[in-house]
Amino acid sequence: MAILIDENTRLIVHGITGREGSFHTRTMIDYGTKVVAGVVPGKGGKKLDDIPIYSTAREARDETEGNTSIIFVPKQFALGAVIEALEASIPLIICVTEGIPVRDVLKMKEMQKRGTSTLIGPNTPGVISPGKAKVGGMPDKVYMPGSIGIVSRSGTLSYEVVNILTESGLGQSTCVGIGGDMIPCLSFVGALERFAEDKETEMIVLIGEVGGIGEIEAAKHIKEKLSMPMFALIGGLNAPQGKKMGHAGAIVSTERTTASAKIEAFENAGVSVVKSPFDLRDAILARV
Amino acid sequence: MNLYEFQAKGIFKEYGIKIPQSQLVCNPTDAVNASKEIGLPVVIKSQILEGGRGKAGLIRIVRQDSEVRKHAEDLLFNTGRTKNERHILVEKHIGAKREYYMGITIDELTEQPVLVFGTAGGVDIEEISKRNPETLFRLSIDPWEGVYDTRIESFVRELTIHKGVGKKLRPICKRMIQLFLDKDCLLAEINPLVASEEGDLVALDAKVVFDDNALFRHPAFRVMEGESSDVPLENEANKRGFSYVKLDGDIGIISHGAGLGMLAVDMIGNAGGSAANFLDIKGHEREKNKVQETRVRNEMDLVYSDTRIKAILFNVFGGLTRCDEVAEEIRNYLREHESRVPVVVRLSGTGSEKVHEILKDENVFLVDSLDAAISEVVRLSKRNKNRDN
Repeated sequence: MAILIDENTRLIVHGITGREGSFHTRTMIDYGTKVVAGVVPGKGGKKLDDIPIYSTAREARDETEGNTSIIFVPKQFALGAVIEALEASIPLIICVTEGIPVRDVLKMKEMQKRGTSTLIGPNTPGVISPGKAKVGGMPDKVYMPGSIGIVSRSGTLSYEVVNILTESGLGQSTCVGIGGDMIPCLSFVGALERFAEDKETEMIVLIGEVGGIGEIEAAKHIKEKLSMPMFALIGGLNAPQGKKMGHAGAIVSTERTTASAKIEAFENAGVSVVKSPFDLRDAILARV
Repeated sequence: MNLYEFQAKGIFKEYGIKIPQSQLVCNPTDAVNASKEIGLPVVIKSQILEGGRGKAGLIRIVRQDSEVRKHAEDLLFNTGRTKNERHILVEKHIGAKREYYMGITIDELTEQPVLVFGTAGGVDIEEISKRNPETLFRLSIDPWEGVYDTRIESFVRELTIHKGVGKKLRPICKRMIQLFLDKDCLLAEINPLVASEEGDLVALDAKVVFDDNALFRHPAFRVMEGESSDVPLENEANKRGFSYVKLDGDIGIISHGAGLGMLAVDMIGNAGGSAANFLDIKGHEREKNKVQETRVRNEMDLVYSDTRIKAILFNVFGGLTRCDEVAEEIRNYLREHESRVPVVVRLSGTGSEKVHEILKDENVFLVDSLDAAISEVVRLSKRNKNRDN
């Protein structure tokens, strides 16, 4: 089954003619994802390889029945692209773009509330359901179909985790990058809720980091509602307070947002907290 | 990006929020002249980014002409920190009848901008929210619309403050909200906002934190880029588009991907080594002035310039980042620069199948996995350290 994306995904690529858009569209097609359209204002009627390009999201959706959008548009224009996809009622929108101003992300979230679309990101490598579909720019050779659901703030840390799991024969149902921004449009809780409904997913790995309270909210949710085996890896244990380490979200500002506060909350909720991808593999193998 | 008090006050003034009469000076003689123009008593304030200036004695109320020069010299020359700051603010002392708190930030729970007003200002807001939360009032802000006048009016009416103060407060709320949204702030804070003896509401202190992601649409702030840290290397990194944090060890880390970078710092610690820095390249797109080719160059320049370093770990797991491109840049860099310290390179992911071919003859330790990279770089740093001793 997987969550969010699978063999039924019909993908619309916003910014398909850009450097990132074109490169990753081709890798997604190679992987087997059905890319049905591109959206680039002013380039309607043109093509990238065999893929028709439209000037608006609405046209793309109407003509091709696209049901998922991926946004590869520069940060100056990302808000506009997301709004367009929301207004075209595209059911799933994944925003890869990094560096979008917080104010724009807040606007996206506000607009998303008024409709029924699922919005993921920004600043995410995307979502992959191994063997079924890849919507994003992750290194797809590293993934293997299986029953472990993965949700992560950090793209690169999740690649490392998946790499080690795959090497040990522990495959993945879906890997969701919620992104590294201060305010992710889909929270950990949002991903966990979807994994809970997925028959294919038998255990979940949550990869968090310092800053923000997403992990604390997730721990609360897990304690109250989740019974699946859960593992958590929190990056930035040694991050100095008050300093921004990489992601806008990874600012250690209050007591609740430190790595140790999150670890405590997870342990309290019955989650196995591990210190490294290697420990994670060992913990899962011990369980299995 | 953190703004200095004087910069934040400049913006407040632009938005019609009253601030005390002041002059920004960088030498004691100008401080003396400023104080004469403004008239005693004055407050002389160190302009540094850290909080707690009051407690650290960096805000001085001066009531006598003869004291001005002494305090100015002290704050300019003797505060004993490595800093870019060379300014002090000489400000008219405002007699405060009442002190309030006003701050606009993004509420971590509701994920909405929120204006917080406190009827007991002048104290650290975290303390107030712990000890006297009943003195805090919140007004949520729509990121598209801001706040309608009628909502501001009813909000102010509910506050436990003098009616006269309420009348002056409404426009300040409105302007601060406008400022916060217009300027892409993450925080805009007045603590304390005081009711002066003349009956005005004046911002005695000002704090603004600006969203770096929005720099592209605020050219005026670009000038201030790279000035917001005490650590020169951190400012330098910021100017070049990286995220850099100085740590205490001797193993330099270059990582693409913040999560992986943080993991590397942790794993190096667990393996008996110590990271000298965290460094992450921000963004995957080719930005106008920051072409892919110069990024690796900039990163390596930066890390090499740190003389504490005994070994470097270059660790990338590329998804959106392409390893073959990174490998080429590393090769080019090392051919042009003599390698003072051993470099361990681990590149996995997109394009990694080409890496071995590109780097096989170069002066690097090429490894495939993260744990091999960590143990190798820790081993090399110790060996290098022993050589020096």
